[in-house]
Amino acid sequence: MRIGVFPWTVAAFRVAGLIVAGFVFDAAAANAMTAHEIMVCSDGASKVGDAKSELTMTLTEAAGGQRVRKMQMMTKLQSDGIDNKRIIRFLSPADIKGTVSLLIEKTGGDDDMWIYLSALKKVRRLVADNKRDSFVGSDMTFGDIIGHKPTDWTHVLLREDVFDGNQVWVIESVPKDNQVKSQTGYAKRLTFVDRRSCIALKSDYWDETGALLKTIRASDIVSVDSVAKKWQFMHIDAVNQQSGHGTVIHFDLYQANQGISDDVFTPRSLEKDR
Amino acid sequence: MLFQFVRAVIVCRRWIFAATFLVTVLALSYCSRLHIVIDPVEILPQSHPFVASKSVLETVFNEKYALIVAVAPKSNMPYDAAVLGKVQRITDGLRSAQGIVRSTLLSVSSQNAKAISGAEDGFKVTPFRTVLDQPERLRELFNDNPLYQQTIVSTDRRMFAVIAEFDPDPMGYAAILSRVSSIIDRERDETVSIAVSGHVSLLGEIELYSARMIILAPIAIILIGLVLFDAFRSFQGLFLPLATANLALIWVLGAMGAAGFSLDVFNVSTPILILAVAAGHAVQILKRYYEEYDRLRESGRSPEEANHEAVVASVGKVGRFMIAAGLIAAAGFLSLTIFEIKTVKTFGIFTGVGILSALLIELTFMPALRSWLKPPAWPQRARQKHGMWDFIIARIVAWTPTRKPFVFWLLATGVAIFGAMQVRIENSNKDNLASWTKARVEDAIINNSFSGTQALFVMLDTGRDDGVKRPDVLAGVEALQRGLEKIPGVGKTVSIADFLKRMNQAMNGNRADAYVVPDTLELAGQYLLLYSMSGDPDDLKSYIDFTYRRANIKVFVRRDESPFILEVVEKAKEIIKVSMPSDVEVRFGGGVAEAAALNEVMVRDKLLNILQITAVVFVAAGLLFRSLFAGALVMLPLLITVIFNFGLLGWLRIPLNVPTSLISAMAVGIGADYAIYIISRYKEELARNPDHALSRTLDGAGKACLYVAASVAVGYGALGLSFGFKAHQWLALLIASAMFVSAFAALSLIPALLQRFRPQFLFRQSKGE
Repeated sequence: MRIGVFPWTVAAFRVAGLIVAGFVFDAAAANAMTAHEIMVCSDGASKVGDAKSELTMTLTEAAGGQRVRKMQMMTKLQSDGIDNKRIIRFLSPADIKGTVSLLIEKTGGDDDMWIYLSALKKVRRLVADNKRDSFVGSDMTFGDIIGHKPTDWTHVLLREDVFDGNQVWVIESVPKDNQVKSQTGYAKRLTFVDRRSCIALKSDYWDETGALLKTIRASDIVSVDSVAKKWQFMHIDAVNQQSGHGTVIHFDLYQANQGISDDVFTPRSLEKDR
Repeated sequence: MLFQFVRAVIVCRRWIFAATFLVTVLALSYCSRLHIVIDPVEILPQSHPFVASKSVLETVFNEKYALIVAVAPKSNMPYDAAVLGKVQRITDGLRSAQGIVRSTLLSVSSQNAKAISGAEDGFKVTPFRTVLDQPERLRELFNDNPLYQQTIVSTDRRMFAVIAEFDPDPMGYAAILSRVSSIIDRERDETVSIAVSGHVSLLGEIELYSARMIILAPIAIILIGLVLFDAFRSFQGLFLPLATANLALIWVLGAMGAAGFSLDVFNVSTPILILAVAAGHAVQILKRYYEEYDRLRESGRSPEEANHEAVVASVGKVGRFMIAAGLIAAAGFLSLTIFEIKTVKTFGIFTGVGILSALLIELTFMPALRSWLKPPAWPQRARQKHGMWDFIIARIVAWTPTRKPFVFWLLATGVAIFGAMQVRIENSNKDNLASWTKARVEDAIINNSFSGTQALFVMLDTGRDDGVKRPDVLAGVEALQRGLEKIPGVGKTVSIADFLKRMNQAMNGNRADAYVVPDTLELAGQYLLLYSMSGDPDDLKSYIDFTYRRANIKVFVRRDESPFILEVVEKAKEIIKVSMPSDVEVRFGGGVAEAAALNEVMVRDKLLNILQITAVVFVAAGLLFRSLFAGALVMLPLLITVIFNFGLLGWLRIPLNVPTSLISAMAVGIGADYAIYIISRYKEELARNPDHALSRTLDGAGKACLYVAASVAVGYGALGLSFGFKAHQWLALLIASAMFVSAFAALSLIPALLQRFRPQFLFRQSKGE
């Protein structure tokens, strides 16, 4: 018996076949990824052309005291597709309102940073060994926020696992040399990379003496650029295991690819945009 | 009744032995439960302002117990590469040391030591560790950042220090010192000299010196035994008083362990008191036993009969006064439990129960044991006559009817009072060690090159978040720092204001006139935000709390004597009154402040202890003899002993501090017993033969007092050999003085007063009897 086949059905099957094949291919490709490739994927997972966000940062000390800061952040990927320009404007509390910082990341060199202090009405270039310095007083370093350059580390895929209901790769990374160790302040990292988004859902960090230093967890992962397959966490919390400090950053607003002008990311603009 | 009791004890001696054995084994098993408190501050009343601030200091500002390691080249080379390498390795080693508070680790190679530099358009934060190989750059950075001068680098830039804070260790400061010494010692070589100081080092060294007691105490006990052997010329004389004393000690330690009491560092010398009191009672009974034994043998009794009867007679005749004296002393010490301070309560219970244990042993185990032992040889010439003791007793007997005892004691007490009036109340941890000891020498090296090895902390609480950023508060901090730095002995002060001033200067093109505190709250807040961007959240934790409500000013001091610390505190209060906004609450704390508090509280309470025990002894002795005069008589040697102890402190320039006040409080526990034994024996001898009452009293009870005083004084004189550790030498001197003064005052003054005033309580009753 001959069965009649409608043209749209054939098309539908072809599409379905491609999708299934795509998934199979993706899965096969994913399975074939090396630890280094996974970390490269993770490093680029959130790098969008530009983004504008508003966030609330809550800092908590071991004894329970809290400081809450609201900030506006804009980022723009530089032409190399690796480094970002990042501008952070503090909205509250009142005493630091109007303070703005500008960070121009430079892979392989010291980042450039400028700060505008509204109380002083001056822009100053801030030169610091900032990869291991605290990100605006939080428990994360600038290095944690910018991302640790995958080529500086030796990565080993320990296992595949499930973390918070997500399929993850568990990668152990150790610095390639003492300079990287000294610059980042870490002797080892253990990263739980989400297989779907490549976002690091959990990262444990060991300090230079080999003691567990902190744990950073990301959650509420959303797709922010479906074409370029970019994802962004909306919530992140870091806990310093040694001091008991904690930092929670919640994104109240996140908009990717808004066409932000390069002019925004200049030292002059800090003063203008107050 | 007591006679019947002793006879029953002798009959049931096997049961007594078994019971004593069981109680002792049980006590020994409970001794292991005895918890020993190392941290002296835990013992203090937490309400004392300097102590109450401890929790704020530790939890808010991470200030614990400091250790300072300083490395200098043997040459005159500043910024010596080898020295910097060693400092780096010591810093790295200490970072992973157990118990360290990592955020407080500070040295030229620690992450949190950062130089702030300013230029026309820029602001640079440079961790010193990144330029260790550039001596010129290091010099420049240190010159621009006075904050770090004399804290991590010496004035001549030769010596570099590593400062670390440690959590208290349950095993004490010496345990911390031993853990870090391997990290430090491996850097020692012929090219550098390394000095160690700070609270951990000083107290750790004091603990190590105190541990000499493990060797010195047995030597003291052996010497006590030898003197008693010389006195009694028998092995019983050597062993039995020591057996009573040691058994009493085991029992009381066991009882304290079973009851869950803890033993603190201030009670480590209390066993000496128990030993002296217990041996005192034991010697009185033993002395009487020999007297009775000799008398019974002279009357023709067989050795066994005489032995049994002497045991019964000695305990029967002396026992009731021993019970009375023991109960009075125990009541005096147990009355100390009304004090708030735990260590005083412990001292009271420890000594009170120790004395009661000694009484029980002397009334049960010792008669049982003596009745079981082989009777002594007789006639025992050596026991009956030997030069020194009889010579002393004969002199006192000859002295007593004259005015000489009164003249002597009046003059001597006057001299002692004059000395006592010059006593300095002063506690200094450093002063426990001789100036030539390694710890003191190294402390002096660091003290001379840096701003001070000790720190006093002034903590401000503005009452609301961000209060420290207020310009008026920062101006107050600035005024306080500059004012305190004028006091000789204060090396340097460091606070959040110093960081803000430096940032202000750097942000204003390094202009000299911009080295001032920010003039608005916002600017201070923004500088703090800026600093937090170039460091770790804990970088400023020593100076400011998380919500910027509280601030901490570190006042580095080169001296740690309590009057000096109190002077700094008073000066600070004066400045605060004028310069600080009135809504800012101020507290003082830190190791040196705690030591000053400890001294203030302990000395005051120990003086009150002395008064209280004296009062209890006066009332109880008055009741015992039913005479106020008797109460006063018993109190007299005790008072003279205390006055002499204070006189010695004054004349020999020994400070009245925690250890010396403890010894003085112990001295009051000794004198009363002697007086009671002398009075009671005199009463007994008066009834027997008034003509020989004095000589027989002094030859019997008096000589026993002399034996105990001499043996304990000689025994503890061994502590004088603890070279370098003044606390032991003070103990040796003051215990010896207390023993001799209390014995001679009781022996010479009481019979003289009794003969001169012929009090009714004694002469009427004796006539009646």
